[in-house]
Amino acid sequence: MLGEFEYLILAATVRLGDDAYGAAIVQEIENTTRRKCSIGGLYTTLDRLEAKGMIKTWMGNPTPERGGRSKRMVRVLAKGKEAAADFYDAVLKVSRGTSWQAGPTGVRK
Amino acid sequence: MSIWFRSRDALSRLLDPAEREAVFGDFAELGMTGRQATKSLLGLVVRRQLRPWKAWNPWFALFAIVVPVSRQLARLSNQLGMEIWPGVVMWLHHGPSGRTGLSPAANLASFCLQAVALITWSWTSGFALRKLSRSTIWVSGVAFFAIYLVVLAGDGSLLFLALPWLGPSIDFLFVLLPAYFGFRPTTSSLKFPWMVLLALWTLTISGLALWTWGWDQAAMDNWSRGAPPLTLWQLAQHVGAWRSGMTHVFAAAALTVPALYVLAKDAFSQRASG
Repeated sequence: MLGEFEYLILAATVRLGDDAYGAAIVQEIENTTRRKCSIGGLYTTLDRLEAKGMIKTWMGNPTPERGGRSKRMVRVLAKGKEAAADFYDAVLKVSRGTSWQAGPTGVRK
Repeated sequence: MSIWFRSRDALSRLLDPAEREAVFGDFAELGMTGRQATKSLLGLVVRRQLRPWKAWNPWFALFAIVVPVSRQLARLSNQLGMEIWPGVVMWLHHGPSGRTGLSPAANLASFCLQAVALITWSWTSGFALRKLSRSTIWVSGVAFFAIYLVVLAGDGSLLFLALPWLGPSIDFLFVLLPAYFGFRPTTSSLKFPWMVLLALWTLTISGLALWTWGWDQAAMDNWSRGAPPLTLWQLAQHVGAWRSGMTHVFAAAALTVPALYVLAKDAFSQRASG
């Protein structure tokens, strides 16, 4: 089972598509969750996900806005998509009937 | 340059070059200040440095090689210095065979074997440590040198009267420098046939050197008693000789562990690839 941060990274990476790399993933997570995301935490988790065979990373081309430095590009593999889908299903199932879930059951007005 | 940028640059040296490039690019793109970048980098570096310690290799390197070998090397290099110092003085007053009764050639052979053995053990230990756990080599290396120096200082014989340069010279030339060369990354390219030769060389030189370390004392005993033959019965009665023998066996076992490990590792990897 994935951890919460692992799931956020996988989801952000899939949303970014071909533009998924370190700084872009950090910005995506911070913009959507309004929580701080550190580069250190991100890179360590990327290593872990790569070791589990859920993502693939490689060095991309350098760009001027990065001071001519390369990017660590990220792509989610089939195993990662499967794990993210399982996590999402688990969250939906465990949330069913809870007061904070929007829907016909258990909605607190 | 601010202290934060200096700290960031210093910390970044602990990362792989490719990763450092990517991380610095991310910092530039996110517009992070020196302080933010340093904090973020510190987290990454600490996690990176702790990760290899989840495996058994660094712990084995630390407790099976660093601790016993550095202590033995400190003791033996100190012993070599103590043997040379009075030997040189005696040589000046009574000639080359004045102290032990050994011939000049035997004295020279004894010294050379012991010196070469120290060099071999030190280099092999550094080499085995790098083979065992490359990512924690700086921790193993610092621990190796620290324990060596602490044991040496504890013996209180760092400096020999009238020859203050002798002890540090032996430590530097025969132990610290060879160990440093063993730690270096270029050594890890050494492959199978060289490994066998290296291990055989280490075992041979270990045996010869430890034999001559006992030889010196035995020769002195014989000489002081009018040179009677040292029979097995006499040896059995000589408690000190047995104790000395056991010390040598222990030293040999501790000092050849790195060579045996390297040999075994390469033999297994040969079998796996074959």
